[in-house]
Parts: sequence; structure tokens; C-alpha cells
Amino acid sequence: MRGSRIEEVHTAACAAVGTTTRTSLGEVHPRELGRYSVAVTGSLPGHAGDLAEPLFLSSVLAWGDGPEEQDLLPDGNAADPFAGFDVAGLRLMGGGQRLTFHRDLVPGKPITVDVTLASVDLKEVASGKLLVLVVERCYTDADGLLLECSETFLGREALV
Amino acid sequence: MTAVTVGTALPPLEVRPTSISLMRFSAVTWNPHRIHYDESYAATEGYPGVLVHGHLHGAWLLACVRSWASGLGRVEEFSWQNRHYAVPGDLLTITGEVVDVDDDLVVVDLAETNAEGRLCAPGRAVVRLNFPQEGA
Repeated sequence: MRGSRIEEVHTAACAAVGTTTRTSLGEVHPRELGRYSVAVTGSLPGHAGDLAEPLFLSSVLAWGDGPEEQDLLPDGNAADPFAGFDVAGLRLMGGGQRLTFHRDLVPGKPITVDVTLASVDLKEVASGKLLVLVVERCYTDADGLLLECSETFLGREALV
Repeated sequence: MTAVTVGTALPPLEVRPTSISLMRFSAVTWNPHRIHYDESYAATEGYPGVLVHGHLHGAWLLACVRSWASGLGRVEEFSWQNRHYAVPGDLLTITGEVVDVDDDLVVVDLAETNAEGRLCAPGRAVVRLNFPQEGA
């Protein structure tokens, strides 16, 4: 018997656990950090500046151009956000991050990220099945490690 | 020199999310998720408005601790969890309290709550002080 979509994604994700993908992100322009800071402090009356700048790298969802619009899922997300398996049919939300800031980001230096799917779990919760993915990322530049990030993503069956 | 001890409270940070902030955050992080800018889509998932990004909750928690730590030290570790949604217009309050001091390392517990007192995002940060604490 064919399983539910969330079970299919769970199976595909399990096969990808432990796989590391290295991607060159290029250089971060000071303008990107400036815009990030403005977006963060726009809702903080009386505050300005780079209060949350260390979170910039791990907040960016995509570094390339991204998929064409017609290729995005109905909720707007990319179908393959983790470069390895398709999450179409699920609603994916961020659950939070755990970070270690080794050094401050210096604009203008090329950055590389290693992305590893660390773990996958399919849980039964009150609202139904819940897929829990933990993705680890290590960001480096020519001088070494900048940032380590472990992020949790929560997936539920799409409503439509 | 400022003394940092267990129980030290951080100055609270009040956040009033705006739809412009959310749009700008989606743009600068290249986040196409409709739940952050398309009210009709957000309604299909049962939400009363577009949702504040999980990363933006994290950014505000980090802003609170970095604002306090400015001149004292550097945030070396930080974590947070997204527990409850927020929408533009909500009044969110971020509080923090020092829960451990060990020489030059300070652990701060953080919380972002909405006007109803609901916890939207708990967090924790480790700050390395520029100077060790006497008697810590």
C-alpha cells in the first residue's frame, strides 16, 4: 500500500542523512548586511544598527537565483531546499537554530558552506504526523570557520 | 566596570512587527514563502495574518542580548526555538536574565512573549565578557 506523502518524504530524507554538500556562496556585499539590519530594526522603535548581523548568514534561505516562479511549490517554497530530496506536498516551517559564532563576518571575502542533513524523525503529534529535520551548516572563509549552525525544520502534510 | 551577576536582568526590548519589515526580511534573505507576505495564503493555513519569520524572532532575541552586551563582551553562542506565531501589529516583548556566570562566560536566558503573555520564542545566549567577574 502506498504511504502518505509525509512518509515518502521521511523515507527519502532518511536516505540523505549524513550527506554533506559544499557550496560556494561568493562574497557578501556590505549592502546586504545593511539591508538585513534595516529589516531587523524596522520593527524596533528607537533602535538602529547591526544588532542582529551575526544571524545574517544562517537567515538566508537561498544564495543563488533560486527556481523559476512556476517551479515553486504552492506555498512559495522551493521543492528541494536541502539539495537532495523533494519536499513537495509538505508544509515546512523553521523550528529554530543553535549557533556558534567563531568569527565576525567580513564582507568581501568568499564564503563556503558545508550543509549536512544531520537527523530525521517522524513523530505522531496531536495534529497528526510531524517530520523533524535537523540541518547542520558550517560557514567558512579563507581564514577558517566563521559560523556553525544547527537548524530544525518541521514538516506537516500540505492542506491542499 | 559593570558587575554581571546571576539574576541580572537585561533591558527589555519591545518589538512591533510591521508588514514592511517582513517584506524587507523576505527580500534580503531570499525567502519566497507566501506565509510571510500573502494574507490570503496565510488564511488558508488558519492564521489571522502574515507570519513573522522564525529567523526574525531569532534576530530580535539576538538584538536584545547584543544590545545589552555591547561594551561588555561578545555573544559566542546563541539558540532559539519558534513556539508561537506573531503577526504585524502584535506587541512582542523580549526579556533576558543572566542565569550563570563562570569567570568571563555569562549565560543569558531569553524570552519573547506577546501581549497575552504567550511565549513566542525562548532563547539562550553565551556571552564572553571582556573582563572576568570578581568572585564569580
